[in-house]
Amino acid sequence: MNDDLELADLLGEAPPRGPDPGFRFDVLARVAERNRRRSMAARALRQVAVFFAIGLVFPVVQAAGLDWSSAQPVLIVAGALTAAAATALLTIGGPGLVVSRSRALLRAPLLRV
Amino acid sequence: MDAGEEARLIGLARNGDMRAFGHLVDAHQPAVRAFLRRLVGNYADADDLAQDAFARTWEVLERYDGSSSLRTFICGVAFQYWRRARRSQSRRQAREDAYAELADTESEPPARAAARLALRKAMDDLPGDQRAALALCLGQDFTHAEAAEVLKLPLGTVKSHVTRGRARLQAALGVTEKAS
Repeated sequence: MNDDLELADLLGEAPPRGPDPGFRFDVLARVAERNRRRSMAARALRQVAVFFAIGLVFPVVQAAGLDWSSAQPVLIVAGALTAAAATALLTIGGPGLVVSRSRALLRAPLLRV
Repeated sequence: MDAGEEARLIGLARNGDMRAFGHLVDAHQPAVRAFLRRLVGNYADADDLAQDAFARTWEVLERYDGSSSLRTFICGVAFQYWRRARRSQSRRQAREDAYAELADTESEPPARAAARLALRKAMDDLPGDQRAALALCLGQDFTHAEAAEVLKLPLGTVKSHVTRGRARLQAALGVTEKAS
């Protein structure tokens, strides 16, 4: 029982020496899942940052000494620009699921022909 | 897999080629899984950790500088995962898993099953670094120098861990150092 290999064998049977496709599949599935989670977290962070910035406009304007009536045109323009930017972002790089679903809907009738 | 082919696959994987990374997983999974199986004792948990380690390797492949082998790099990641998992899991639970696993191996001769149980218990009682050094070096998958790189320990410390750990495992099996 003094052989190192026998000790190793008793501690845990070694996996097959050849490639194990099941193991590889599980690893790649985990990689994909982690990538998905990372991109979701990044997107959530972006959204929080955008809303934070929008919320910050009001106290900044107030701190600058502008009252509501004088700041109103600036705020309206800022709001319109923000809404336009958000819409553009959502349209171009936005929710992948929505975009891919729309594309799938568009493609489906073509495939049936 | 030769070094040139491995370097080519690493380059492709760094650029997001999942197929190339799959080949690297195929090449290194036996060593990483064997190391974790010896370390953890529970095959399912060991493979779970191994998969996490490979998935993490994909994320940090940029940090691999080629100064050591990729196998050593992945085992280093796996070791960190094991240390983290160990902190969050009580020793009692680990031992229960080992018992449950032994209960599953009914086809095994009783003497061998008892030896495995005694060995597992002795292994669980070893300090973490000593345990990992043994798990790497006992199966002769890794040299002492490679184990030192994986564990980020001096070479002399690893050699000492292996010698002392082996003696404790042999003692658990009733084998004296003189007899070995």
